[in-house]
Amino acid sequence: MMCLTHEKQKKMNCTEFKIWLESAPEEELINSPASVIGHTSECKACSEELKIIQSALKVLEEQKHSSLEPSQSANIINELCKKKETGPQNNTFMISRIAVAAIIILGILTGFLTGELLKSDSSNEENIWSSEFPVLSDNTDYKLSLFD
Amino acid sequence: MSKNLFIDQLIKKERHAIEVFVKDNEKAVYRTCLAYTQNENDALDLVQDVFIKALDKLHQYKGDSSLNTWLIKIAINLSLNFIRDNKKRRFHLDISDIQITDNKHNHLKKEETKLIVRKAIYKLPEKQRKVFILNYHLNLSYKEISEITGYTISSIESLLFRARKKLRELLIDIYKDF
Repeated sequence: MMCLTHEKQKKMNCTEFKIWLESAPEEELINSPASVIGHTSECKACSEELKIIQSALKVLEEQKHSSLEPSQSANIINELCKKKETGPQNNTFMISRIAVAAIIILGILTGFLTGELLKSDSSNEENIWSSEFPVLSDNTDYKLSLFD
Repeated sequence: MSKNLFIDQLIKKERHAIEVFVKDNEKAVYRTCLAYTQNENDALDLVQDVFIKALDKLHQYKGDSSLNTWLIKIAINLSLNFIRDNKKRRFHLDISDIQITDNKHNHLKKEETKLIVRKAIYKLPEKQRKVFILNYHLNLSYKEISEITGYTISSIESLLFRARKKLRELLIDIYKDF
């Protein structure tokens, strides 16, 4: 048996319910007070409205506590690290690599050309020596023996 | 580790720094993207875009707000761009995919509820939606919301009150139109 005061508190009409529904905190919407339960048990339209709000709050609550799976997080990290090689941030890195390659190629070319020049110089020099001092350029294989 | 050193390591894209950067901020970024898009796969794609953009634009980070706050701002911008570009296509697909129950008095199926929630979130005026998501999904204080949005505390209070009211109205209206 309920006293008159409690009986009065439990009764709520549709207008009061709508005002409550618009402004009640989320926790109160999930755990509705007795007065609301009393009204929604009698009014189907208001009961439906409360149900959709409660269902929506459940969806929003799930989102509020959602997070990435560890594998999804690892994938993102891997993707970001892959971008390291191709990202626009690495332009300077790429430029420095190209510069190093260019220097190496130039070095090889310079070395080759210098070598060619020296080779032609030394062959000219050899010709001069052989014409001036034929003995020195004589390549005959002499056999030396102590008993001859 | 000092903040500047960490930023330098991120600019150089050192793996360890990237791991810390992602792990420290992924929840906030993911929840922001999910709250806006209301779709797990879209949110996941956006999270990656947010981090890529953040690393590319890190030299523009002035350090006047936390990295987390800065990332949330990027997440909001990219999510809004995504919604603008995909709004019509997504609704079209979703509505045709869902079999709506004949009897409205039945308990709502989860997928139906998700669609109603998505439509309601999409229909919220942008300022109200932004404040609602930052407060409800990310649990940020009014001061933090103010840092991100640039709104005053009193306008945040007012926007939040209106957002809650409007969202409930929208949920009921969309449900009735189903």
